[in-house]
This record gives sequence, structure tokens and C-alpha cells, in this order.
Amino acid sequence: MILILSGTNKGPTFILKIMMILFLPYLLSIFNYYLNQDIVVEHVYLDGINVSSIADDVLIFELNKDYSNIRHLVLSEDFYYLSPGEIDYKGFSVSVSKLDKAGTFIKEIYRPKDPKLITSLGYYPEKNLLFVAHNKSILSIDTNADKVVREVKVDKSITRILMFKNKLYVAGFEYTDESETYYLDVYDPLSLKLLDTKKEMNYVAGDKAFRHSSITSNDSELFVAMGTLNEIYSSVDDFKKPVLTFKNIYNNKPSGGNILFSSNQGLVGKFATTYFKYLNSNYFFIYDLKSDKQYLSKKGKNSGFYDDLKNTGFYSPLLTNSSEYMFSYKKYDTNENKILVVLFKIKS
Amino acid sequence: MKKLSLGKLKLRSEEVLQRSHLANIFGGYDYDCYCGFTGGCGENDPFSVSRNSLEEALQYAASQCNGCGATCEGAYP
Repeated sequence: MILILSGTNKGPTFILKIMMILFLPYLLSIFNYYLNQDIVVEHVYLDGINVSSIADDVLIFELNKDYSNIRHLVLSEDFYYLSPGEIDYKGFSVSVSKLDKAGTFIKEIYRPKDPKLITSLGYYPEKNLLFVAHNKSILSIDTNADKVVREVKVDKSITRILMFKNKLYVAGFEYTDESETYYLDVYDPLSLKLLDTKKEMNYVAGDKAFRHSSITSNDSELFVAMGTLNEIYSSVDDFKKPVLTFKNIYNNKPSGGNILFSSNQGLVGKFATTYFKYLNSNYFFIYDLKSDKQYLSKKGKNSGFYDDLKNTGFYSPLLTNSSEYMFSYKKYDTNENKILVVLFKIKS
Repeated sequence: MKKLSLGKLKLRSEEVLQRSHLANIFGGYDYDCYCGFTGGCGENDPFSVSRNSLEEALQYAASQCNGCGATCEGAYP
């Protein structure tokens, strides 16, 4: 650097700029404690992961509905919007319901006459718009009137959407006979017009089977997990290099894992989290980025994420549109017209 | 011979061409799948499979689910 600068007649401002560029990665690493970090999964299996280790609070409300599960949940300032899985659709969701913050069911605000599966929900607080993603379409709902405002068809298959900094981020896949591609697109949330493709991960044609991408965010960054690697990319470097890589997920046996099941992969609060499948079992993994402590438990009715705050049992937490919350649900009896919806306020 | 329009027959285009036929033209349908049965814990781990029919999608998904079986549903546009 000294050699370069000694050959120039630039002033101190120029030298300062050069130094800023050179030291930018270091400066970023100060603010982003997870930048380019490898998280090595140690395969220490716990009977349960106490909710109190991860979350400050658990919010529970009961819905007298015959939902099979809760597929997606987004939070607004005044309401929860959820898309429930239904038995008639094999546990997949075709509708959206609105609940108040006490968990009281208000009404079903979306169920098209020709039902099609809902793949993700998003919410735009500044405009009170709810976004519903189907396999190859996106629509916006004005939540003041609870009416569909706009619907557009898209060429690619959508698996996840998230609003971030006044843009709608859309992740999914497309394929031809020669190739398979995971993508991250950006849409204008009002017109629902495609603005840009932020990231593509291309592969030669394989099984034509695709994992569902994950998108999470905090105040300053958006994170995406996509493709066939257990990596998380950030908007901070325009999704160029992974900011987090989950290593040793398959315990040094690549054939023991299956990337299709690496879902719910992202950053929430001060944690990095993922589901993964290793050998014949599915696991919930969560890693404290500040203390470097990790928690791993098999997902199941008697293992996983244990609510030690309100003693309501085990859960498998799922991502919301918020960096503060994850959600889950519980059905004690599959024939019961009742389901518990649970929100975990994740520590930051 | 008098030609009949689809409108007069009250048929929609997808009823004239079976979904499997359309799949051959457009290269397959997307199905959302998960391991196990409806109401089981596999519901939280969905993945997508493109195949010409539900049966083919189920067959592939089951092969990924280590003997648990699989559930799939067409994620039509």
C-alpha cells in the first residue's frame, strides 16, 4: 500500500478513501459479529432445548378451528395473519386468517374460489399490505379493507417471500431440461413488478427436487439461504459470499444428509438456526452468535424445543416475518377442533 | 361436419387436455411434498418436486423419506 501511495500525488482525502476500502471488511466484521463465520455443528444431541435459553417470552393462544397445522404466520402492529394447513388439502394451506394480538380470530380474509397452495406470506407495514405467494403468483391484500389489490403471475416457482426496506424479496426455483436454478428476486411491492434478480445459484439438471429457500432479516440486513449448500448470504455484500456456513451438519458423512430438509435456515435475534436431516432423523439446531453456544435436538413429539416457561410441551419453531419472533403450533388430538398457536420472543 | 367450440361444450382447456398431457408440453408440474402423513411432524419440512403426475411425485418424495411415506399436493399456478 505504501508503495502505491508513494507513487501518487493524491491528497489526504484520497488516501483516506483507499484506507477505508482496504479496511472495509475489518470494519464490517466489527459490526457484524457473524461475518464469514463457520458454525461447526458438534452433534451433541439434547433431549430438549429449553425455550428460556433462546426466548424471553412465550405467547400462546388457542383457536377453536380444525386446522391441521399453521403453515405461515406474519405479524403486523395490530394483527397476526396466518395460513393454516387443512386436512382437505393434505395439511397444506389455501387460506389466510386475521387474528388480533390477543389471538382472537377475527375473520378469514383470503380463500380463492379455485384454491391453490399458499407457499409464503409477507407484510408491508408502511402500506398495510399483506402479500400471499402461490407457486407461480403473488398477490397483495389491503388489510384495511381486507381486499385483494393486485395479483401477478410469475414464471418462477416461489417458496419464500419477505418485505425488507420497501422491497419485496422473492425466493424460489426454476428449471429446464438442462439446468436447475435457485433465485432471489426483488419486486416493487405496490406494482408487484419484477425489479431485479439479486442472486442465482445454477446447477445441472438433477432430480428436479428443490428445497424451500429461507429469508430472514434484521434492521440493516436481509439474509437468504438457498441452493444446495447450508450457507446464508447477506445483502451487506449483495449476496456474494456466505456470511454464515453450517459445517459438519452431516457429521463428515455427506451421504448421510439431505439438503431438501435444510429448511428454516436463517438469523433470528442473536441466533443462527436451521432444520436439517442427518441419517434418518430431523433436527432443530440453534446457535448463539454472541456466546458461541449451540443447541441441537431431534424434532419430535417428545424432543426439540421445550417450553420451560409455560410448560406446554415440545415444539418445532418456524420463521416469521419478524427478526424477534418464531412461531409454532400444537394439536393435542388430530380430530380435535382446536389448535394452540405459539409465538416465541427470541432474545436479541 | 359442424365444428363445436370449447365454449359450447362448456369445457375448460385443462379438461380437454389432461394435466399429465399438459405436463408433457410444459415440462412437469410442481408438487409440494413432505415426509409422513397429514398431522405428522413432517409437515414442517416441505420440499418441492417437479413431476408429470402426482403418483410420480409421491414416488420420488417417498424415496427421500426413509420408509416414512410421503404426502404431496399439486402446487398449481
